[in-house]
Amino acid sequence: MLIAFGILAAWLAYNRKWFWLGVAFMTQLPFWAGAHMLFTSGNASPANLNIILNVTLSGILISFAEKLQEQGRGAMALTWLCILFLGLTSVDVWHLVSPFNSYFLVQEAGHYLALLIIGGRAYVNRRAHGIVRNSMYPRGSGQGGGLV
Amino acid sequence: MIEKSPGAVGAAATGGTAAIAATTNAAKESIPFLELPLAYFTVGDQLVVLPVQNVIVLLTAFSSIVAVCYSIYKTARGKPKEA
Repeated sequence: MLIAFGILAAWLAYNRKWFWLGVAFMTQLPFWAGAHMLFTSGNASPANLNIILNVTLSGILISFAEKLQEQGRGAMALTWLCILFLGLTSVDVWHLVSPFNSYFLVQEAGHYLALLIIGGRAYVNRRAHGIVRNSMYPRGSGQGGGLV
Repeated sequence: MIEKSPGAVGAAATGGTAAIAATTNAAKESIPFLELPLAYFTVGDQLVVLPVQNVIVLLTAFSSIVAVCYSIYKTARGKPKEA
Protein backbone atom coordinates (compact mmCIF):
# COMPACT_ATOMS: atom_id res chain seq x y z
CA MET A 1 0.00 0.00 0.00
CA LEU A 2 2.82 2.36 0.91
CA ILE A 3 4.61 1.58 -2.37
CA ALA A 4 1.44 2.09 -4.42
CA PHE A 5 0.76 5.38 -2.66
CA GLY A 6 4.39 6.47 -3.09
CA ILE A 7 4.33 5.79 -6.84
CA LEU A 8 1.00 7.59 -7.29
CA ALA A 9 2.15 10.52 -5.12
CA ALA A 10 5.37 10.88 -7.13
CA TRP A 11 3.42 10.79 -10.41
CA LEU A 12 0.87 13.34 -9.14
CA ALA A 13 3.66 15.62 -7.90
CA TYR A 14 5.50 15.27 -11.23
CA ASN A 15 2.32 16.33 -13.04
CA ARG A 16 1.69 19.07 -10.46
CA LYS A 17 -1.72 17.69 -9.46
CA TRP A 18 -1.47 19.08 -5.94
CA PHE A 19 -5.17 18.91 -5.20
CA TRP A 20 -5.37 15.21 -6.09
CA LEU A 21 -2.14 14.59 -4.19
CA GLY A 22 -3.81 16.05 -1.11
CA VAL A 23 -6.93 13.95 -1.68
CA ALA A 24 -4.79 10.80 -2.12
CA PHE A 25 -3.00 11.57 1.13
CA MET A 26 -6.30 12.07 2.97
CA THR A 27 -7.76 8.81 1.67
CA GLN A 28 -4.78 6.94 3.11
CA LEU A 29 -5.24 8.29 6.63
CA PRO A 30 -8.07 5.96 7.80
CA PHE A 31 -6.17 2.88 6.61
CA TRP A 32 -2.91 3.85 8.26
CA ALA A 33 -4.65 4.92 11.47
CA GLY A 34 -6.22 1.45 11.64
CA ALA A 35 -2.92 -0.21 10.76
CA HIS A 36 -1.17 1.88 13.43
CA MET A 37 -3.64 0.60 16.04
CA LEU A 38 -3.04 -2.94 14.83
CA PHE A 39 0.76 -2.68 14.95
CA THR A 40 1.07 -0.72 18.21
CA SER A 41 -1.75 -1.95 20.43
CA GLY A 42 -2.45 -5.28 18.75
CA ASN A 43 -6.07 -4.27 18.18
CA ALA A 44 -6.83 -6.15 14.97
CA SER A 45 -10.28 -4.66 14.56
CA PRO A 46 -10.14 -0.90 15.00
CA ALA A 47 -13.68 -0.63 13.64
CA ASN A 48 -14.67 2.28 15.90
CA LEU A 49 -11.77 4.44 14.77
CA ASN A 50 -12.26 3.47 11.13
CA ILE A 51 -15.99 4.31 11.27
CA ILE A 52 -15.21 7.79 12.57
CA LEU A 53 -12.40 8.45 10.11
CA ASN A 54 -14.22 7.04 7.07
CA VAL A 55 -17.37 9.06 7.75
CA THR A 56 -15.32 12.21 8.41
CA LEU A 57 -13.45 11.69 5.16
CA SER A 58 -16.75 11.16 3.29
CA GLY A 59 -18.01 14.47 4.69
CA ILE A 60 -14.83 16.29 3.67
CA LEU A 61 -14.88 14.79 0.16
CA ILE A 62 -18.52 15.67 -0.47
CA SER A 63 -17.87 19.19 0.83
CA PHE A 64 -15.08 19.55 -1.76
CA ALA A 65 -17.42 18.12 -4.40
CA GLU A 66 -20.10 20.67 -3.50
CA LYS A 67 -17.59 23.51 -3.81
CA LEU A 68 -16.47 22.26 -7.23
CA GLN A 69 -20.09 21.85 -8.30
CA GLU A 70 -20.81 25.47 -7.34
CA GLN A 71 -17.91 26.53 -9.57
CA GLY A 72 -19.36 24.50 -12.44
CA ARG A 73 -16.45 22.06 -12.46
CA GLY A 74 -16.79 18.29 -12.39
CA ALA A 75 -17.10 16.71 -8.99
CA MET A 76 -17.89 13.17 -10.07
CA ALA A 77 -14.63 11.53 -8.96
CA LEU A 78 -14.94 13.08 -5.50
CA THR A 79 -18.56 11.95 -5.25
CA TRP A 80 -17.59 8.38 -6.18
CA LEU A 81 -14.79 8.49 -3.62
CA CYS A 82 -17.31 9.63 -1.03
CA ILE A 83 -19.63 6.74 -1.93
CA LEU A 84 -16.67 4.33 -1.71
CA PHE A 85 -15.85 5.51 1.81
CA LEU A 86 -19.49 5.22 2.84
CA GLY A 87 -19.26 1.62 1.61
CA LEU A 88 -16.13 1.09 3.68
CA THR A 89 -18.01 2.54 6.66
CA SER A 90 -20.73 -0.06 6.22
CA VAL A 91 -18.01 -2.74 6.20
CA ASP A 92 -16.74 -1.25 9.49
CA VAL A 93 -20.24 -1.36 10.98
CA TRP A 94 -20.68 -4.93 9.79
CA HIS A 95 -17.37 -5.88 11.40
CA LEU A 96 -18.31 -4.11 14.64
CA VAL A 97 -21.55 -6.07 14.88
CA SER A 98 -20.34 -9.37 13.51
CA PRO A 99 -16.53 -9.62 13.19
CA PHE A 100 -15.16 -11.44 10.16
CA ASN A 101 -11.63 -12.51 9.23
CA SER A 102 -11.04 -10.68 5.98
CA TYR A 103 -11.85 -7.23 7.41
CA PHE A 104 -8.30 -5.91 7.02
CA LEU A 105 -8.13 -7.26 3.46
CA VAL A 106 -11.40 -5.54 2.51
CA GLN A 107 -10.17 -2.24 3.96
CA GLU A 108 -6.92 -2.57 2.02
CA ALA A 109 -8.77 -3.35 -1.22
CA GLY A 110 -11.04 -0.35 -0.69
CA HIS A 111 -8.09 1.97 -0.25
CA TYR A 112 -6.38 0.55 -3.36
CA LEU A 113 -9.62 1.29 -5.21
CA ALA A 114 -9.56 4.86 -3.90
CA LEU A 115 -6.00 5.28 -5.23
CA LEU A 116 -7.16 3.83 -8.56
CA ILE A 117 -10.03 6.33 -8.79
CA ILE A 118 -7.72 9.25 -7.97
CA GLY A 119 -5.02 8.04 -10.38
CA GLY A 120 -7.58 7.44 -13.13
CA ARG A 121 -9.13 10.86 -12.65
CA ALA A 122 -5.74 12.56 -12.75
CA TYR A 123 -4.66 10.44 -15.75
CA VAL A 124 -7.62 11.29 -17.97
CA ASN A 125 -7.13 14.94 -17.05
CA ARG A 126 -3.32 14.93 -17.27
CA ARG A 127 -3.27 17.40 -20.15
CA ALA A 128 -4.04 20.98 -19.35
CA HIS A 129 -7.76 21.08 -18.58
CA GLY A 130 -10.13 23.75 -19.69
CA ILE A 131 -9.28 26.47 -17.20
CA VAL A 132 -5.52 26.08 -17.60
CA ARG A 133 -5.87 25.85 -21.37
CA ASN A 134 -7.90 29.05 -21.38
CA SER A 135 -5.22 30.84 -19.44
CA MET A 136 -2.51 29.44 -21.73
CA TYR A 137 -4.33 30.30 -24.95
CA PRO A 138 -6.78 33.03 -24.03
CA ARG A 139 -9.73 33.52 -26.32
CA GLY A 140 -11.36 36.73 -27.23
CA SER A 141 -14.76 37.46 -25.78
CA GLY A 142 -16.45 36.80 -29.11
CA GLN A 143 -14.98 33.35 -29.61
CA GLY A 144 -17.37 31.27 -27.62
CA GLY A 145 -17.82 30.42 -24.00
CA GLY A 146 -15.40 28.96 -21.52
CA LEU A 147 -14.50 25.31 -21.58
CA VAL A 148 -15.62 23.07 -18.78
CA MET B 1 -25.19 34.36 6.52
CA ILE B 2 -22.89 31.50 5.70
CA GLU B 3 -24.72 28.41 4.52
CA LYS B 4 -23.10 25.37 6.02
CA SER B 5 -22.82 22.22 3.97
CA PRO B 6 -24.55 19.19 5.59
CA GLY B 7 -21.51 17.11 4.66
CA ALA B 8 -19.24 19.51 6.50
CA VAL B 9 -21.60 19.52 9.47
CA GLY B 10 -21.52 15.71 9.46
CA ALA B 11 -17.74 15.77 9.35
CA ALA B 12 -17.68 18.20 12.26
CA ALA B 13 -20.08 16.02 14.25
CA THR B 14 -17.93 12.95 13.77
CA GLY B 15 -14.88 15.01 14.60
CA GLY B 16 -16.42 15.57 18.03
CA THR B 17 -16.56 11.88 18.71
CA ALA B 18 -13.19 11.24 17.10
CA ALA B 19 -11.58 12.18 20.41
CA ILE B 20 -13.52 9.39 22.11
CA ALA B 21 -12.42 6.81 19.55
CA ALA B 22 -8.86 8.05 19.22
CA THR B 23 -8.21 7.96 22.94
CA THR B 24 -10.11 4.78 23.60
CA ASN B 25 -8.06 3.59 26.56
CA ALA B 26 -8.06 7.00 28.24
CA ALA B 27 -11.80 7.31 27.66
CA LYS B 28 -12.48 3.86 29.10
CA GLU B 29 -10.42 4.59 32.21
CA SER B 30 -11.98 7.97 32.92
CA ILE B 31 -15.56 7.12 31.91
CA PRO B 32 -16.18 3.56 33.13
CA PHE B 33 -19.77 3.32 31.87
CA LEU B 34 -18.54 3.43 28.25
CA GLU B 35 -17.85 -0.29 28.54
CA LEU B 36 -21.23 -1.19 30.01
CA PRO B 37 -23.29 -3.37 27.66
CA LEU B 38 -26.27 -1.52 26.24
CA ALA B 39 -27.70 -3.84 23.61
CA TYR B 40 -27.80 -7.59 23.07
CA PHE B 41 -28.85 -9.39 19.92
CA THR B 42 -27.94 -12.51 17.99
CA VAL B 43 -26.53 -12.75 14.48
CA GLY B 44 -26.94 -16.34 13.39
CA ASP B 45 -25.73 -18.35 16.36
CA GLN B 46 -23.50 -15.59 17.69
CA LEU B 47 -24.50 -13.35 20.58
CA VAL B 48 -23.55 -9.73 19.91
CA VAL B 49 -23.07 -7.32 22.82
CA LEU B 50 -22.81 -3.62 22.03
CA PRO B 51 -21.25 -1.48 24.78
CA VAL B 52 -22.22 2.16 25.29
CA GLN B 53 -19.15 3.43 23.43
CA ASN B 54 -19.99 1.47 20.26
CA VAL B 55 -23.60 2.62 20.38
CA ILE B 56 -22.49 6.28 20.66
CA VAL B 57 -20.15 5.87 17.69
CA LEU B 58 -22.82 4.08 15.63
CA LEU B 59 -25.52 6.68 16.34
CA THR B 60 -23.18 9.58 15.53
CA ALA B 61 -21.98 7.85 12.39
CA PHE B 62 -25.57 7.19 11.32
CA SER B 63 -26.57 10.85 11.64
CA SER B 64 -23.42 11.90 9.77
CA ILE B 65 -24.08 9.37 7.01
CA VAL B 66 -27.59 10.81 6.56
CA ALA B 67 -26.06 14.30 6.22
CA VAL B 68 -23.45 13.07 3.74
CA CYS B 69 -26.10 11.24 1.68
CA TYR B 70 -28.15 14.44 1.52
CA SER B 71 -25.05 16.29 0.31
CA ILE B 72 -24.48 13.64 -2.37
CA TYR B 73 -28.09 14.09 -3.49
CA LYS B 74 -27.63 17.87 -3.65
CA THR B 75 -24.36 17.55 -5.56
CA ALA B 76 -25.79 15.02 -8.01
CA ARG B 77 -28.85 17.18 -8.64
CA GLY B 78 -26.68 20.21 -9.36
CA LYS B 79 -27.67 23.84 -9.38
CA PRO B 80 -31.29 24.58 -10.30
CA LYS B 81 -31.57 26.28 -13.68
CA GLU B 82 -32.72 29.87 -13.63
CA ALA B 83 -35.86 30.62 -15.61
